[in-house]
Amino acid sequence: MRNQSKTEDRELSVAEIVALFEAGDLGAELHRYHDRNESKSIEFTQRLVTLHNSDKIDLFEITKQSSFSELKGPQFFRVLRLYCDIIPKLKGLSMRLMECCSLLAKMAGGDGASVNPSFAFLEWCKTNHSEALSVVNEAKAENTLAIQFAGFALQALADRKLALTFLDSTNVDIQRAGIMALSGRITCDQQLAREAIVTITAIIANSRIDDLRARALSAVFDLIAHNACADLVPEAMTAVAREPGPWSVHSVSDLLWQKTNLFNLETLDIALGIVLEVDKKNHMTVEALDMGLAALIRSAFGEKVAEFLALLFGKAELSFSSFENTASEFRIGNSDLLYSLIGRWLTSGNIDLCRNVGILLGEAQIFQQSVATLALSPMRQRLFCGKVIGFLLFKPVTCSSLLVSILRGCDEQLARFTSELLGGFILTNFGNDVKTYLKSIDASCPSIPWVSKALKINEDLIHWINTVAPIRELYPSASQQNTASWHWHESIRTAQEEAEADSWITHFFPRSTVLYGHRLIAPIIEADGLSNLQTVDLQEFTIEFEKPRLELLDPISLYLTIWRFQTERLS
Amino acid sequence: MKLIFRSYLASLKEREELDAILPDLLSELGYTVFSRPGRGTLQFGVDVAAVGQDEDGQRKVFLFSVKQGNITRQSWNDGTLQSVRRSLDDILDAYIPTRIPKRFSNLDIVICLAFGGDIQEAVRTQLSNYPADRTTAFGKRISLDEWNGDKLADLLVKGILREKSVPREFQPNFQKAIALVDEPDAAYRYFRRMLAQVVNERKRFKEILRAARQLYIGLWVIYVWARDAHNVEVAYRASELVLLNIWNLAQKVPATKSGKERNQCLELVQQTVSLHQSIATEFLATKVLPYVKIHYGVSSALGTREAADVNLKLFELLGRIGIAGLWAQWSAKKALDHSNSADSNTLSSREIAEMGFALICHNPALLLPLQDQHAIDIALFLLLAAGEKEYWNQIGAWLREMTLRLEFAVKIHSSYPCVFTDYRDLISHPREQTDKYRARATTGSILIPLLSAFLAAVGDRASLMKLLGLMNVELRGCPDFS
Repeated sequence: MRNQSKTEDRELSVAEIVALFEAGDLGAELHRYHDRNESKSIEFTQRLVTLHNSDKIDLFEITKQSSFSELKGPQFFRVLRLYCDIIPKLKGLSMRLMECCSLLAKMAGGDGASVNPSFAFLEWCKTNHSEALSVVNEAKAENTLAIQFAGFALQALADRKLALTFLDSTNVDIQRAGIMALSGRITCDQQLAREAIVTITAIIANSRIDDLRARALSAVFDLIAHNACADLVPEAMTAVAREPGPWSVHSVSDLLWQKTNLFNLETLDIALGIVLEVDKKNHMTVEALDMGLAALIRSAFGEKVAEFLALLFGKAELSFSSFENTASEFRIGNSDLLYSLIGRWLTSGNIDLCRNVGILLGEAQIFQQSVATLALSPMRQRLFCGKVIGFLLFKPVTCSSLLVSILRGCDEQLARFTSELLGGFILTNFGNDVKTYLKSIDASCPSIPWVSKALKINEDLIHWINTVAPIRELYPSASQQNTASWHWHESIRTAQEEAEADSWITHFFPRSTVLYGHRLIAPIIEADGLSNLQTVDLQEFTIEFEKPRLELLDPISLYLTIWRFQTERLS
Repeated sequence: MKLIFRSYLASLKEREELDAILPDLLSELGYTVFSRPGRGTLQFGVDVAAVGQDEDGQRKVFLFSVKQGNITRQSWNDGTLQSVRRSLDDILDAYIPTRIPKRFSNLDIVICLAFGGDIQEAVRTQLSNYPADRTTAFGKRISLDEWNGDKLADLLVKGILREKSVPREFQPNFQKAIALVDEPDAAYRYFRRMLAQVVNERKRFKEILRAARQLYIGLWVIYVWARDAHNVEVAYRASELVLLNIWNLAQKVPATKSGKERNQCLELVQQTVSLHQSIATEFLATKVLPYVKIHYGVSSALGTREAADVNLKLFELLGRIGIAGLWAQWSAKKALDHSNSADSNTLSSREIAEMGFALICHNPALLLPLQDQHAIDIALFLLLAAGEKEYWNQIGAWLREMTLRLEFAVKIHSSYPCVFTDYRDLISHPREQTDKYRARATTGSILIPLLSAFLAAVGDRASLMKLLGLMNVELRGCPDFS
């Protein structure tokens, strides 16, 4: 390490760089001289560019040398960054540069940085139009390497007509290059844009290659968005709707998110029909769809999203757990829409939808609506009441709020039933927050007489329970209490371990040490493989939850009641 | 030890409580008891009568009038039948002329005032001024003696717990049991050790009888101490143990012994049953009965945050209710056979059965046990309740709900009855939600056959079929007696 530092601190002379190149060692040494400090790095890269452009060294050749291929990990990525910085400034033939870029991308493997050499190539093409054109021509002549980079060359040339000619090819990769050239923020002649959209839409409609159709769809929407051709959206959506593959589904999900404003009710129906085919294993697609649906709710398409999710959750083994953004949008958005969704889903008879209501709603969601707004028959209102308890009991304030919404608009018979459940079951199980909520209801609310009755039922119960003197004869023995205490601590410890296993902190600080609960000291592995001790101040964090009283007094009753309400059906 | 007995005697609440031990104490001291306390018979002021040697070496008749606690100015002469003065008058006016057996008619008489506490000084003066002409009559010398708590305690130590008659470790174990009455587990452990030492190797009749008396007195002492500590748990458990052991001792009486001697033992068994019933009544009537009709009342009074504890303790309680009811049935039948009135201080079997059903109704944890072994407690209560046909509907409803819950709990792998007995296993049951674990937890169940039998008895075919369905699939390891 000491020798290394000495070498890094000293500037390499031009002669030394040339000597290293001639010895075939320059590639292996490059990583030492980049990113040391900004001014020295700029000076060094400038010196490399000058030497390359004056044919003293050949930076394209270096990438083929064995010493270069031996670069690994952080060393390689440092050199990759160096190359991406200097490629746009280098002189040379496009074929040689493409070879170099291709090699660099290959060495980068699956890393996201593997696309950087191609973008460096695009920048290079912008200052070397004649070379870019030769790449385009080589691609048309079906040179494999040229086809790979033709999209970038076309983008650099910004010649839409030329790009459009690529779409006429029967070679899919050439078509792909053309589509790529037409993607992005491209504003062009309206007629040309429309022509391009129609051509690409035809590819979408006729091709069976899923990733090509997905790229094409994305390009079409880019063109539509930047050239005011929204009337062409239906054709594009109809085209992709024919046997959409996973890439197409992903692309549509992405468009719902990124280009929400281009959809209307008609095209949205088609789009949602496509994304209904989403595979739960494709996490990126599910994530994009989640963002898309959240964006649709913000754009007043909440009703459509609710309908779509009702279908999706019924068939794809997905739930709101995978759609956190959508759920959040529902929670903070239009409360009437949310209430209507809850009403429909809970009375749908579909247990998956009911479970999703349980996941969707927050711990203390308060509703001001009345069950009358749901236009349910008395039988369905009764079913709604049971399902609210069956699926939302463990969010007692939310559950009570929905029961109160029933009390606001139901008939007397159901009000009595609901009030008794509220007082005899909910309040028996949960005290604090539910009582605070119920007592906070405005006196003018139509539910008040029934809420007061429920509170009275509970007050009486608690009053009588409090009159019972402890029966010391039946207390657990000291050894049983110790065992129970140990069991309790074990449960807490197991829960803590499980929480730690899911914690991102433990992924970042695998060998962390907590100092007296105040500070965390952890080794951070740097890019050069060396570890560095970092300290992080810890904040206090507590979670409180209220266990249902019946969990202690009679757990089977508790779960049996929940189960009965969950599985209850209309006769 | 004397202090323990002194305190015990002072804490005796009822006059009958001292009556209960005095005859045994006298027998152990060498007296011949010829009259024991009776219920509903005229006793003319005498609770216990015996013949024995006085401190002056002369054989005399001892007439005991038993009083509760301290003798105060009020209890000396408050105009009631139980006042000391009235009792003395009754003894002199009625008992001595008519009730002393002829064979003892030539003996001098000592009237003993027996009480657990002390005599107030003011009363002592009145006692010493009791007319002299009243203490010499019928040609016999009649003297008054005072057997207060101190003397009785002394006699208990010398009589019942004579050094030679009890093992060396008896006293420390007994003292520890007394000291720990509020920690029933520990106290019971010491009491059990003490008991094992007392009953060990008793073969001769006198040894057997003495051991039985020692256990009986020991139980009384621990009961009174536990009652004062407002926690009779150890007394309840000790009473079960003592009853079983005294019964066992009674079986060891050699066949060569006369009926009278055998009866002495059986009488002691009967006394122990009564004491056990008193303890059970003290517990059930004061701690449980007032709260059985409060929803979740008893469930909430168990001082725990473990659902398993609530279930275990409630079923244990139901078992005790069942036993108490069965004893009450037995006592009532016995009283009827002997044309006696039933003991008004204990609960009737009907009251106890009603208590059990109210407990089940308001504490729904009793709708399914966590521990399979609690089938015994269920069976005890069923034995009590099934005796009355009017309870059959309630029995049917209880068992139907139990079957339904059993089916639910078994299917969702949650808190179904398990055969484990270790507390650690019980509080973490079910440890796994797998078929394999469930098979291990239910194999050899005694609850399932019991439930099947009673469901068949009450004619609940639907529940029976449900249970058989479970036994064919989820509970394949359970014995099938269908």
